[in-house]
Amino acid sequence: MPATDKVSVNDASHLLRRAGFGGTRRQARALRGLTRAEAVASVMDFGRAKRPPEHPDESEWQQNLRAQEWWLTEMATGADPLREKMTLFWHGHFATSWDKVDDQKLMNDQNHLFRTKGMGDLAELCTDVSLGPAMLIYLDNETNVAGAEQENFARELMELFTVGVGNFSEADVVAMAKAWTGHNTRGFVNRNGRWVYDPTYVFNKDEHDRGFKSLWGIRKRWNGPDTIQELVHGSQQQLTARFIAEKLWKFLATGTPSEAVLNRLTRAYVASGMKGKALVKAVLLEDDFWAPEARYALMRSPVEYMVALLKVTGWTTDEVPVRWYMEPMGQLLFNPPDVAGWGTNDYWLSTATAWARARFVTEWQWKIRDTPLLGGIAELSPGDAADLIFSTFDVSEPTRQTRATFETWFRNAHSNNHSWSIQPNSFVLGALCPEFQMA
Amino acid sequence: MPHSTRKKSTSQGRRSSKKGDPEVGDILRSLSVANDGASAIRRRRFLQGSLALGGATALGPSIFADSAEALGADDRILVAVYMAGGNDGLNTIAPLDSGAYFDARKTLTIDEATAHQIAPNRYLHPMLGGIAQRYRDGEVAIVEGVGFPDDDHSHFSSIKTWMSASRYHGPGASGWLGRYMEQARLGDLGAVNVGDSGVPLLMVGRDSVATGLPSDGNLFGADVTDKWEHELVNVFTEMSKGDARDSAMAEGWAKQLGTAIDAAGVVNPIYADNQEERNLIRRLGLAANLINLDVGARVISTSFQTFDTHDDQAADHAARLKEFDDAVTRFYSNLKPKFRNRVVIMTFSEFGRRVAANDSRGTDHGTAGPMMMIGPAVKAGFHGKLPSLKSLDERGDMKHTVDFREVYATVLDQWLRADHAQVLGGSFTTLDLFGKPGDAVRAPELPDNANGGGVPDELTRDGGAPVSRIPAEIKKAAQTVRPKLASGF
Repeated sequence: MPATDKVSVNDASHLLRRAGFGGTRRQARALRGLTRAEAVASVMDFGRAKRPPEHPDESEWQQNLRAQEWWLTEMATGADPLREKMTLFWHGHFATSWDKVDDQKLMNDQNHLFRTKGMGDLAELCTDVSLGPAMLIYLDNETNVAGAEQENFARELMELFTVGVGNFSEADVVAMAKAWTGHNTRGFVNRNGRWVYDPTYVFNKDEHDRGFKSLWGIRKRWNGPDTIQELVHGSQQQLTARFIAEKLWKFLATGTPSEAVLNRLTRAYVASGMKGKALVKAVLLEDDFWAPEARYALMRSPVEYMVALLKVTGWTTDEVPVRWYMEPMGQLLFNPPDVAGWGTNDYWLSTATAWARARFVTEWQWKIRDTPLLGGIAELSPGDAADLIFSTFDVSEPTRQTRATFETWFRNAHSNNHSWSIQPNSFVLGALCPEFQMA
Repeated sequence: MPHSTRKKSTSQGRRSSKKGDPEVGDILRSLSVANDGASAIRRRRFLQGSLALGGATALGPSIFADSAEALGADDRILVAVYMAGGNDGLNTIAPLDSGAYFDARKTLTIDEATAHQIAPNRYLHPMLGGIAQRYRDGEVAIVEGVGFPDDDHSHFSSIKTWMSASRYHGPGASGWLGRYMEQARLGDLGAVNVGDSGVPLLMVGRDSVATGLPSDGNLFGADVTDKWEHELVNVFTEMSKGDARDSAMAEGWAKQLGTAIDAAGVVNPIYADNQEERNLIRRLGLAANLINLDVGARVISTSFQTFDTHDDQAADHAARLKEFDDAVTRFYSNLKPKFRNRVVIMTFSEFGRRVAANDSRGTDHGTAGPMMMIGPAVKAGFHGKLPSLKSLDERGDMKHTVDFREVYATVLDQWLRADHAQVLGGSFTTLDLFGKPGDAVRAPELPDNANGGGVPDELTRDGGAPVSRIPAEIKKAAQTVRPKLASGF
């Protein structure tokens, strides 16, 4: 029934913030009058996925910066913001850091997997990521061999990627590590008398423990990828579906889902054969997703915030070196802080990160004078000026308090005779007001 | 004290107040549970909110500078340093005279020639030369064998357990220093995290969050010499005062930015000695500068990484310990002498590492590890007890001898002069880690005889031969101080 509700401009604006990185008033108006189901379908109609370009002649560090900029740009200007947002979700979920992997090419390959397979079967995504060199290196399965098991990957596969903490035992970790023995990289190989590291995945049969292992009460000759099938499509499916559904709800919708919502999401995910697209769609069609309580209830992560700013300003990463500002804000693409990835909401609330956002905005506010953005604002009435700031930043539902403080400031700025600062300062107000920090 | 300006935003709390008539609900709640500190804070917020509606947009001077009080005569300072990733305690403070250590670690042992012997069978890592000197000067207490029961070896849940001092990590979880911050009613600069991302769970209270200082200067709000800039900053100060937002997160942001602006003018001087590095050396230097400002900083936290040394551990671990050693040196070289006796640095990590090295020249996640307490006021020497390296659990991990909450309880009671039971939610036996500043330094005890351990019948050294038997009366004494674990953990 609610899926047939017609969306208002404000509803559409909310959808564009969540199923992407924010839109323009125009984009929001274009969705007005569609049903929720139609609006959701329109943001899920994806085109062909682009691949991060390679720059093999540049230094590793330079390649990493390039990839960060490419991805931020793709999020801001690409045709499929929801797919990019889900790529970001999977990057945080299967957290892997360039800092350790030290090979941007491998990070790009993994990134491409998130983009091309993130909406498909979780088992396929999880298997490809797990056997990908970036993950093999990051969680050390490259050195996991029979007789000298390495537990790092085995543990995180269950704790972070599928069923979640509390849903497996230490004995499962030991058995899981054995199951994944032999799934390594080629490692150091001799090429023309030189030892070079070859990160290509290889199944070293001789290093694999072919013995019987017990997992979830099933005793058999478990071999790595079988365990993912069992986790995603077998006996552990309910746990995995719930774990991912709750995490995605917190990423796209709002705080902790109600039990009823979580049950419906889990059912939809399972019924689809664990397809990412079905879960995303189920989240976006929940009543609670559209509820007034969900509006402006998610803090934008630094990446989401910066992308939203790039969309508002039209700045490119060539003209504004946003890459230097991401670390102080607390989120560097391809460099999650640890295996658990990034958190949501409160995770981003601190004076330190507030200063970092303010710093970027105030250091670049003067650039606005070269653009038509907020042009002529000094000549408007206080009420119209506030409206112009809100529409520029697509703040569709500003609070009275924000509006009142904007208008008071505007009057003071005029009467104190520094109208020249009104346009650049309006940019700071829009970019730092509470509403624009929220998705 | 503008305690309530640092509201912690949880959608849970906000959502519950939305049921029915929120205003009435808030009032009833705040009136009916008057003794509850948390609802007292909620009530203050509510009152402040209603005043703000009447007071509208009058731009006043910051009340912040007045509320940043100097350190009281009896106040002490704790600097908590988190070694992120799981520090290898065995290679930080190594029992180099034990055959069991060499058996387990094979090639991954610290260098005997350059390690610093500080006690019988205890050698600090070669990179900890500064710490070794401080130990000899009587300024380092080491608590060995610290951990907690049923360790699940996960970074994620282990660090949350350490930071919250609780098994509950769900929505609304708080950290033990955050709860202390609220109990002691510390102001905005009373509890500060120094670092470049969010404030860790450690410093999150039930209703408020500690202030986070970045390691870079140029803070928004610090320089308001131009009128047009001042007016701009005032807009955000004004926005932070209201309590009328529908979104708890939006309100949370407004408060954080408001606090940031208020704090900027006060803390800006700490960035004057602009050092290039962005590591622990920088952060502990800033911590000392903050203490020097004398604006009431009582609890400071910071962290550095990574100690998650699964492979090729030796070089990485050495680099981190060197960073730590240099950072402590920087801290004391920046710190004004009058604060020296008032500060203790405490280290912690989510777990130690497995006793046996793995085949990647590294170590996997383990259990117990040592904590260091540094400062002239500590009772120097060894406390707790190094767990046996031979009698391990089924995973090959050490069995902890000291519950980490006993250390916290000691710090709360004996150093911060708080009531540990209120902060930790249970009663713990305390250790004896602090003397009065200026007391004669106690000679380091032989770790094997240290109190607080579950004293074993025989102690092994040199590959397993029993070297001493503990006299019955010492054993009995040790058992009486042996703390009881709180149930339900």
